[in-house]
Amino acid sequence: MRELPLQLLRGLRIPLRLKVGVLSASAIVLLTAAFLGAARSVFVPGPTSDGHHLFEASCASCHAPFRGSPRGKCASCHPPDRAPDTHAAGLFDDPRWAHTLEEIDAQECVACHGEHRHADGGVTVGPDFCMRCHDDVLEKRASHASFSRSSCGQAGCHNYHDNSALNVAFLTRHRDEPDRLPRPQVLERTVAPGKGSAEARFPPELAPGQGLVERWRGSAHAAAGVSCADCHERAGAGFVRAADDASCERCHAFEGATFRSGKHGVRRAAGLPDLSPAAARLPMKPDAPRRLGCGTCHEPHGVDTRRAAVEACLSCHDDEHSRSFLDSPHGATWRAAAPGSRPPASAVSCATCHLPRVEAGDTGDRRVAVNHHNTLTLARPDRMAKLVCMNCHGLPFALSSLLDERLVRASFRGRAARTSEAIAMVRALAREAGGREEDTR
Amino acid sequence: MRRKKIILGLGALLAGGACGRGSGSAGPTLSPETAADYVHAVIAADRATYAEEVVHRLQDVEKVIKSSEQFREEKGLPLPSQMLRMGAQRAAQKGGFRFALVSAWAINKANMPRTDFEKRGFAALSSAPDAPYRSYEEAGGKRYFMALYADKAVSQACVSCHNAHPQSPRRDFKLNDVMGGVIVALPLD
Repeated sequence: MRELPLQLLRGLRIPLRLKVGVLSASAIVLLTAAFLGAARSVFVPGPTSDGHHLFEASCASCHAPFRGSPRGKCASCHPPDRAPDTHAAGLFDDPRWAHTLEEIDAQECVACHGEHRHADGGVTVGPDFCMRCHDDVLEKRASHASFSRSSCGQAGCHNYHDNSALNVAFLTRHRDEPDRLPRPQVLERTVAPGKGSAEARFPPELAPGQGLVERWRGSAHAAAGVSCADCHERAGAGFVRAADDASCERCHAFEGATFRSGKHGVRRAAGLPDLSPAAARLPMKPDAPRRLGCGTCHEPHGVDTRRAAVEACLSCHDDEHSRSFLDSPHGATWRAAAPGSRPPASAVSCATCHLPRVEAGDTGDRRVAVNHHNTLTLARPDRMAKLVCMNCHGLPFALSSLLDERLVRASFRGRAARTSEAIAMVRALAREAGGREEDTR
Repeated sequence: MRRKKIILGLGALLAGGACGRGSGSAGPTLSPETAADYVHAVIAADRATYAEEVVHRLQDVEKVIKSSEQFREEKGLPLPSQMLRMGAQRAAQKGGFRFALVSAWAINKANMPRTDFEKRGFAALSSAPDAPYRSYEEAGGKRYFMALYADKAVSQACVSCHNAHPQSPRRDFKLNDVMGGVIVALPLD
């Protein structure tokens, strides 16, 4: 039976050229349909990196037709940090460093961050890539003589791009800080000035339940004078029942823009349907919400950010670190905060570390806002340490803890197995300097 | 002796674009030696002014603000060497010429002499610090006119900081000592 179609074709005596033509045309139609439709991932030539896999169906996010992946495409999502880049592409235009381009083309992101193949922490050139240009370090610096060629970044001592938390001056300044600072506290969020009292006004045919109106009356929105129409009225459409995320961004532009920069919102930035937690590589709960937008974590009428800061996260994330949170020392500070009240500045939530409060806005509009780029502090332990941990902990404790993978998985229940190598080195440097001073007295 | 002429447009650039666009290749020219001297004169003047009138005055005399490598975190002033490098990076973004601060006693080892030109240049400056060391060089497939000028301790702030820094390889600097050199590299292609 299986051979019947072929027998039929043979019986019909179709010319070979026509058979090839029909098969080729069918293949082209199928591939075109797949490319234009939802099955574009069949064109992905290999495993996409952890940073990009959520929007791998958006080829145009990284590729330009017939031009590969131009550098500008990377920069459109990865603009230079405020911190100076130790190896900025422009540095290699300098004739002092031009020769190093023969070792590694450091002006092209893809020289180190290849895509669609196995990447170790996003890097595809091997862990000893520093040695291609700095091969004399182990020889010339006695302090580095015992190190392996691949330990520069892996030991948490150096960061190719951003060394703002790993340079000797910064490490020295913070090397003797205690585990816990005398006044641990995260930045206080800036509350927008109210624009007067607000009333619950809506078309009678769209009247909400009284419970919803009551929740709104007790919310920060009502306190700030944000009424129904501010969110539910849309230009050209009048009053609509379901306000969309664009209405949130009319006031929360920074939060919206940073949301699209992290994994939670990157699909939206790429023009794809919102993220479904099931698409994540991290373990997620089977009953996690099916799409991720503002309303997934924030109840728009109650505006209880306590829910958004912990409960919403734990309704999706099901890895060991997340499951351990509530029983961890950080979780204890959160549970100790009185229900229904604004948590004190010392209470630590998931959002404290993963959606950090930062100073945002221009000179005339400086304010503390929540950066919704959920992967910002995950890029490197030193970034998390500087941006978040050091609000409450000393740098030695923070760096050492973040570099201990077992401790991270356990949501920091326990202590780091060893002190960070970078901290140990600056302490040794200080001891040597002290010894020299003693000798000269 | 190989001599290259650089159009006066570079002079216009130094003067803040006062000559405007379209000076054209038929206009008057100026030697790369003179062009590099002009560039260095601006760098050296700004560097000395910043070290003396900003850092030394505000930090050491009036004691109102400190300069620090961590000037962002500590809300202080950039060190004079950082000021020069930040300026060099901004100038490089415009394309064209480059300048850099290099020293055999650099606190950051990346700023020690590394190319043949730099090693030859510092050897020459050690015997004749008041005359720049000049040479035509090739790097990364491009041709440059390069000049290395002695960088002297123009302010007590320079001396105090380098003599006190735990990673400084030399701690006996005095005012007006040569502490390093400023390289000006003019592309010829």
